[in-house]
Amino acid sequence: MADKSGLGETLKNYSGVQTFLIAFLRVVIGWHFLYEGYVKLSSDAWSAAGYLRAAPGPFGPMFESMVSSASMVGVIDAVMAWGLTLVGILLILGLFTRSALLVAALFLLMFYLSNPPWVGVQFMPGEGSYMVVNKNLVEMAAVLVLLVLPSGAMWGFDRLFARR
Amino acid sequence: MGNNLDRRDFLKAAAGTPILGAFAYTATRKGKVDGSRREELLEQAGGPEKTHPFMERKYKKLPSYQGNSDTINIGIIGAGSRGKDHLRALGLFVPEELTAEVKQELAGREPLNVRCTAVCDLYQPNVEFAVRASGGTAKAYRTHQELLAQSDVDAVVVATDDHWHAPVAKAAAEAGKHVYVEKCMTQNIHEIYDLRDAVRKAGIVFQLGHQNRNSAEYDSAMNVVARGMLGDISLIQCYTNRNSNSGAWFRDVPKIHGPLDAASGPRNLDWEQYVSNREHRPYDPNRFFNWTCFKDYSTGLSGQLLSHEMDLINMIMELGIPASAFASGGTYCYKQYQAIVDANGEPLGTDEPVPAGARTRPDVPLLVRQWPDVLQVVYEWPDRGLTVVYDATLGSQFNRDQIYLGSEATMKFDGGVQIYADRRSARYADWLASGRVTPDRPMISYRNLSGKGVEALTSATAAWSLSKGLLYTYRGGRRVNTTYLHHKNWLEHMRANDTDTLCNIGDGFQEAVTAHMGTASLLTGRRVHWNPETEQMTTGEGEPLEQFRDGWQL
Repeated sequence: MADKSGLGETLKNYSGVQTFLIAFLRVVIGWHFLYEGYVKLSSDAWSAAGYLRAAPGPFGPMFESMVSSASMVGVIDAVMAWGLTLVGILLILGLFTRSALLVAALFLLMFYLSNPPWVGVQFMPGEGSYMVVNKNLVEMAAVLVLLVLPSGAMWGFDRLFARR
Repeated sequence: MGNNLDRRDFLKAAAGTPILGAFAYTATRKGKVDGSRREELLEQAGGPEKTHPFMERKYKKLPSYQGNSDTINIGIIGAGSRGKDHLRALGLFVPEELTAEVKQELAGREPLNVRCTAVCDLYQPNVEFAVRASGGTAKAYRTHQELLAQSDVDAVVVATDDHWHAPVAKAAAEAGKHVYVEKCMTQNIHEIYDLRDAVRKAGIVFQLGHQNRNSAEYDSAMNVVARGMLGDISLIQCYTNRNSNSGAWFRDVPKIHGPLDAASGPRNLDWEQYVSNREHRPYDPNRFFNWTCFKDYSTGLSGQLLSHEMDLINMIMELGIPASAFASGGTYCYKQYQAIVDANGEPLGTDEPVPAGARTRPDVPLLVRQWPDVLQVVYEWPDRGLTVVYDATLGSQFNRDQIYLGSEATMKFDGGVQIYADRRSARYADWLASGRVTPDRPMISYRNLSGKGVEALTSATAAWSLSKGLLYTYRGGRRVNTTYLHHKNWLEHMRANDTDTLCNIGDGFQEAVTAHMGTASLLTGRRVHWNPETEQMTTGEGEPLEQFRDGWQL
């Protein structure tokens, strides 16, 4: 054991329950991402264009400009559908966890900013009205917590890389 | 021991893999459950699949034809704002409009294989625009008669002011040209019969400009109606809501304008020809550019916007011409408009804010609206047990969706098609009792373009796009241009030598009679009836409507 990296020692600092709950958190977030991606891939009519065109708040014009051309819409739709799916799979597997978590946090930040639940900003129907904190922000916070924990090395394929 | 450790390591590394399996299993199961619920819903809600007759027309396979590769030569008669839309729908753009986005959209279209060989417009800048858009292939003609005499014109698109629709379309049919004419098909009643006779006699391929017959979302609505899901439909309501100067047809008069025979100043429009089939009046730029407000050249709301709504309802319900119409309305909101210039004398757009120092535009007189801006028309089909109400104001832009009220369920268009079970429905009583269906939420919600599926909503994002109808306009990132589809349908029928287009002369006859029954009722203040045997509008006593002229002729 002594010849191996300090990871083994680090992992020993977590109790079994802690290890399980950290992995559980990562897997449920992965599941959520995978489903959102899967739904978009399996629908023949889904496009992000309508949502982005109607984005309220101070970043609304920025999101609107992202879908100003048909080619941009095509790229964004593909990035959304495949990106969510891939991030979901990686999080469930615990493979390239850090990169996947970074991308996940970026996605969630974009979702948050495209429909920010800030006082005075008109909220979009469907999500309901929140005050500053909404589900996107909570999920992003959870992703950031995972980012500072070696969750892929606890239960996940990253364990294989970390040890060899 | 090392072995053990490796195995334990591997188990921990692969711990997530079964979750992926669980996901795949659950997603498959969900698909099956949603699918079976879909089948069951449709089965119980509507009985067996029935095809709406219009669907057969719409998706009819045209027989193979020769000369498919021959270019069709098109003449454009009327190249104003709508005429320019037609050029674009035909794939003809002036160079500055050919942006990367437009090029990409064009690349996604099936080529129509047309050439614009001729153009006629009474306003010179429009002619120049159309010639440039044609890529230089179009020749300009001063009159539609000259244009129609050309052998290198196979077909014409008529997008003139309404009072020239029928005369030009009729002359074109008589010259053996195929015709695409904008709605409303005619500006008055007698023209309807004249045009129908001319088109039928000539055997040309005729298309009326109700391009939204191509919108695939109405396929779902036709499916719902054909399967009787709504029960007995007793009332249909349709609406127009607008609230702007341009929406009320107070449009911008170009900076440079003047009749060809003016003693001085600019001379760029043919006023004499414009009024040659109506009462002769001295030049008035409002009557030329804002013709929609005037009884000589338009029928106002009924021809412009009611006709679209009623044509759609006629397509879905196969109603034909109503037994009677009763209209009321008035000019309440946009009564008049004075064009203005800014402090430097530059003309201001009618919907632009008025800056300090703005003053009356000297070359444009006060525009006074003649057609009402609030209009209600009640149409009745007693044999169908159905009333249709058209309800419009140009003084409020509050959105209202076309709605079909039936004894079992209600259908509403909001970009998609929503079906709500009726609280007192017998057919859906079990579902309502079990709480599986509630009257205030859609029981069935169609969202796709092909009318195949029933929506099973997933994420909030999808739900929201659905409610705004945005999924339809941008499909796979591509905007579907219904005017292009309407032209495509027209051209395909020409090539197949088949006159049964998506909005043929029979549909046009019904459209124009329906719209003008409303106008005749509005102007006479009486209920107007339709006698299907004699094909005449009559009074309640069965007498023909007496001729009258209140700036509009019967």
